[in-house]
Amino acid sequence: MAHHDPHFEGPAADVARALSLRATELVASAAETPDCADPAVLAALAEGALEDSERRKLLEHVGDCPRCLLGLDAALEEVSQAGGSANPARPWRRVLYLAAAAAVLGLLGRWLLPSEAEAPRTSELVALARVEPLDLRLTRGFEAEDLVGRAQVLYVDGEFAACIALLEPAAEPGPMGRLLLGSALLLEGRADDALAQVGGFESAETLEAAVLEEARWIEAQAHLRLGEAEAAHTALRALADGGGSRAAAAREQLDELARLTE
Amino acid sequence: MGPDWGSFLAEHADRITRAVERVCRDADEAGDVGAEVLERFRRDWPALLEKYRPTATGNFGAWLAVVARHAAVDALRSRHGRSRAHPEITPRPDVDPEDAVDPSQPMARRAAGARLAEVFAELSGDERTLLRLYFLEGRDAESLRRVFGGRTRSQIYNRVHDLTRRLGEAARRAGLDSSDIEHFAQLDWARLLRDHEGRD
Repeated sequence: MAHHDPHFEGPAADVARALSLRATELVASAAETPDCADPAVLAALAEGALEDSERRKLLEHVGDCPRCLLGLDAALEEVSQAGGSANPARPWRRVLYLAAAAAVLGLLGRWLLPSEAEAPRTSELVALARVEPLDLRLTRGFEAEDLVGRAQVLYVDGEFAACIALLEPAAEPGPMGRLLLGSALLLEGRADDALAQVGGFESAETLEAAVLEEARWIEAQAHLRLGEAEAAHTALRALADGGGSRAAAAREQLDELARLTE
Repeated sequence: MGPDWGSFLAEHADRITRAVERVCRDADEAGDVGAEVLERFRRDWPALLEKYRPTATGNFGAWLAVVARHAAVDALRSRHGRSRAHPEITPRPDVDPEDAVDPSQPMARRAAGARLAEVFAELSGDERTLLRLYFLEGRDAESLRRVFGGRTRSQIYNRVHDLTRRLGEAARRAGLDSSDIEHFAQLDWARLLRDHEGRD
């Protein structure tokens, strides 16, 4: 199914879609060639286990080889499933299992059918996270024409995806831009990208303490969202010890964390 | 001595069917092709397992998914033969053919299509792969980060942003307007790739 991402709309994205093909349409030209990669190598590519030079060479080939592209896509699906992402149940599968059972085994007990129950991905840690908008008094002083000012207008309007689309391509949005971007990413459910934005604020010497504190708060909530208890604990401990406006909330979360790990 | 077929099926039927359904056009086709692939696996599975050579990461499931996908592709190519190998261009179901085709400008459309294919050809192989996996297969940024390298998913988003911007600029330089692009976005999927890859 074509992927429509609100970040990538308009004529340029239409070109990208127009010039790509669905898997069903690639089948026609997916004959095996002598240059095709071994399935184990495609699986390793999907897992990120190839060396840079080998990866680049293989990706060049995949760009012109429908069979390897389809193989890589299958491996990506599998790796993604192993990572726990849910796949909607498809009614034909059960029919297929039963048909296979009849044809292949004669009798296939229900115990052989894979369970459709998914392990819960959201843990109590994730539920602990408080994902809420920034206190925008922090970002005062930016003109509406500035990059950060324009992003702030979008943020205030709740247009978090648009805010991300504006700030993310910027080579250096500055600390305030990164703070807005980190917060918007977290609100949009992209916790690890949020971490990439708000990490390393300690090295910025000229930042106000309140800005640093907010960045660390986002960092802690992102770690919770990702189920990373230890990293969340470190960030929350620093907030609690810092005595700033987030200290009390950080202490509450530390208590809740402690209860969960008892 | 490996596991028996029943155990193998119980453990891997789900991933095999996932690998099959993606290349099938509907549930009926997926059911038929899936049964064909499972039967082939049942027949050949001890030999099949011998082909598996664990890699450093040792993900048997990903390897099996690739093998199953290829088996499904071969089954489909065999089932449909040349009719599948040379598909007619068909509009997406949500596009009314009467609206999508402008019979007064077939040559202009064809020329625009050729220019659009040239635009795509300006990209490197890995860039085309990134766009296909992102836009068409809907692979998430974390999966693509593993494949294409990089530290964060933001780098993937930034790269897709950059590629779509470059494509848009190249399309405008080639004299294509938004109606050309919209037309091909709706209609000319198969022909454009065949033009690009010279498989006619």
